[in-house]
Amino acid sequence: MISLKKIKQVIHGFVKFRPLLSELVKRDLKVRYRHSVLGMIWTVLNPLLSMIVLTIVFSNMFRMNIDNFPLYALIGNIVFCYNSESTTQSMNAIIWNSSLIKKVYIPKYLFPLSNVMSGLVNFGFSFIAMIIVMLFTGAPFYPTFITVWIPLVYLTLFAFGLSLILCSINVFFRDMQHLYTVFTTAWMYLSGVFYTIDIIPKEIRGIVEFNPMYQYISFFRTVIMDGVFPDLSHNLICIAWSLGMIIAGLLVFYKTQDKFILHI
Amino acid sequence: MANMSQCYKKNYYLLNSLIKSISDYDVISFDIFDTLLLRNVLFPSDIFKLLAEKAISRFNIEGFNYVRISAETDGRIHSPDDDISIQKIYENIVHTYSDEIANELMSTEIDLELENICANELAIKVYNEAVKQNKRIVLITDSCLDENTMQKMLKKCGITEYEKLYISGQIGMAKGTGNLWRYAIDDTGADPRKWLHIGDDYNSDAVVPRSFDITTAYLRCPRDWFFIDRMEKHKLIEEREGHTIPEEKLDDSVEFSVSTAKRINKLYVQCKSSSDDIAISVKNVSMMFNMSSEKVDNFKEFVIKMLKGKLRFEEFWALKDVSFDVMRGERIGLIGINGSGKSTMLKVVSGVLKPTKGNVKVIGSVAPMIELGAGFDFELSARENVFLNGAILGYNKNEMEKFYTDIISFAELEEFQDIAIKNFSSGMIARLGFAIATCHVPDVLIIDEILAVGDLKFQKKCHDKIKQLTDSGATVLFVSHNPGDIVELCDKAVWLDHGKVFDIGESQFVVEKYVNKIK
Repeated sequence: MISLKKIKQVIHGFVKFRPLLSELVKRDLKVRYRHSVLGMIWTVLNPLLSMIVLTIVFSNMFRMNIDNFPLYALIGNIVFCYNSESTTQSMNAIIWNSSLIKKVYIPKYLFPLSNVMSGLVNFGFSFIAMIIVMLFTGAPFYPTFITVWIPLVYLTLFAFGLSLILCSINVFFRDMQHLYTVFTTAWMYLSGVFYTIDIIPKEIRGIVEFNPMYQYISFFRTVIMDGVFPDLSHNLICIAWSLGMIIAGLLVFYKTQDKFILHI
Repeated sequence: MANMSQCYKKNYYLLNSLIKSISDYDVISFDIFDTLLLRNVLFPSDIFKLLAEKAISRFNIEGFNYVRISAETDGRIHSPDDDISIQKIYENIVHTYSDEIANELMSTEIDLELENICANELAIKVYNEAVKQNKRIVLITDSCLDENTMQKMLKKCGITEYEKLYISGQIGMAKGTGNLWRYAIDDTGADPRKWLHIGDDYNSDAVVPRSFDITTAYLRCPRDWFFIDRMEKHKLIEEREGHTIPEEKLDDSVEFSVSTAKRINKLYVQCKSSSDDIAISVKNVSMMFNMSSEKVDNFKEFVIKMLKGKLRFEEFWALKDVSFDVMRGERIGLIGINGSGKSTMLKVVSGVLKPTKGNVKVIGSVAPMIELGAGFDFELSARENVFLNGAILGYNKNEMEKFYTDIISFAELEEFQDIAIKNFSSGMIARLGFAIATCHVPDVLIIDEILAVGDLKFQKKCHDKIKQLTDSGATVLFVSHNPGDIVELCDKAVWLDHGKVFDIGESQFVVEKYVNKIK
């Protein structure tokens, strides 16, 4: 089914259209903050402000007992937002670019990929916000901090796989956009963004543990806040989710992409 | 002689499509000289110069070539027929020289003719295919030579399997007057509509037989190409110098004639094309669209419709089993009425649509000009859009930086480079789109009818640019409703009708047929 020649073709196509990928990412970022006074500063400011809100709400009103709660919530928030923003954006990637897809041949996966990539760039800015918070709260920088790219690779693969599935489905059933908004809200509450897993009743703790976002977020927290590199089983769970999602995504996308043009 | 390969290519493309369509015909006829057989002299009359040399050395006769030529002219004038045989010509010479000498010279001439020919392998390919398919093969030529000599010449080049030889000098009728054609049609009893003729003379091998409903393929003779090449070069020099210059006189010695002709023929035969030369191959392509009466795009509707059993699709085949090849450097025009599948074809070739059945192979970089400015972001400036659009066409940043100034100056937008294009007029946007699409010559250029954008002045500029691109050696696939454009810009035309190929052939002839039909 998948021949070597085809893989070569895909790689050749990617190399040829790599400049387009960077142009699309640039356009994404330019368009997002156009007309706003602060512009790109918002990418750093936004996570900081929402962290302040979360901190006020949760550590004062709910009295969470977590060390360095601002950092804890901020990591949860930026990691979760990276995934939810890039997948939500990608979901419409095919539909919004229909005028292009109908007229010129471009490898279609470039559109969701560009959305994930601009999500990644935004994550980078949020990461700066996180470092600012770490400096402010006097949090230590552990040697494991430099391994933070490992969960980032896992998460990026996962987000891209999910994006491929969502944008394919969305071409055929536009209802997906509305369903997914509800789904992400529920997902956020089940990902342990601003609580520890201990407060979850034992009966439903399994659901949270099964949740890949919970696994990714706790991976990030372990390397940044605990200074420990997660054990093999934690790594394997994350890898399994990433690979599973990217394979499923590619399968769904390649199976349906030739029909996109008939529905957009 | 750079153009020799161009000549070869043109013939090669033509013959390639001929070989495919041979099965549609009952009778395949060939012209002989310059079609099946190539002469090793620049002009047919140079044979007489060679003959004159022999006449000097053997019989000490000077200027025999003039005697020979005037004998032929005299013979023609006094004959009631269209053409005369070599025997008749030499009967006139008997008055000047003795019987013996005349006979000796005649056989020398025949020997020289025999010596100075070589096979045109391209045309012989078509002949071989016709033999393979058991077609009736007829050879038809304007020549004074006798049948026996002609058979010997053909045999020398491996041509033996033909039904009949029609030689003007023997029958007394020529192709150019139409008489020989009439005679051959009567004699074979074949249906001219099932008859395909291949020859190199525009009048007697194409225009005349067409008037009898015979299909013709006009093969270019490499020697003619040599002269066209010279003429074009001359014209180019004149243009550069800005004044007319007398044409350099061709060396009229026999030695020059023979050596040049031999070189041309050798070069011509050497220009072998391989199957790698196919730039676009379209094989049995069918494209089906589901046309549902209502568009169902949300899940609720889909489930309700499915439960009610109302989910019916109407199949619509925009293309049905379309096949054709485009060779590298060939320019093909697609014609047909609205809805005949032209634009679908372009989209399939450019990779936008994947065919339901069959496959399309395109070798090399493709620049689609299906719609100008597809992918413009109206919030971005002209400069940003140039780079975005360039990336869409598959160019990298460095390449685009090189093209940038040309694009902006072609679009005449120097003053508006950094203004968001949402503030542009539609003409400005179209100009920018056209300039980007044509900034670089790709291997394969796909052009839909977008030639005319902007005001009259810019339209002219676009048209010139398209002409320049199509002449640059790129493979071109071109769609237009204007038959004049197809004839002007394309070598070959494909006529699509209701998704099927109705006719393929030289653009001039296909367009002529098309225009007559839709009238």
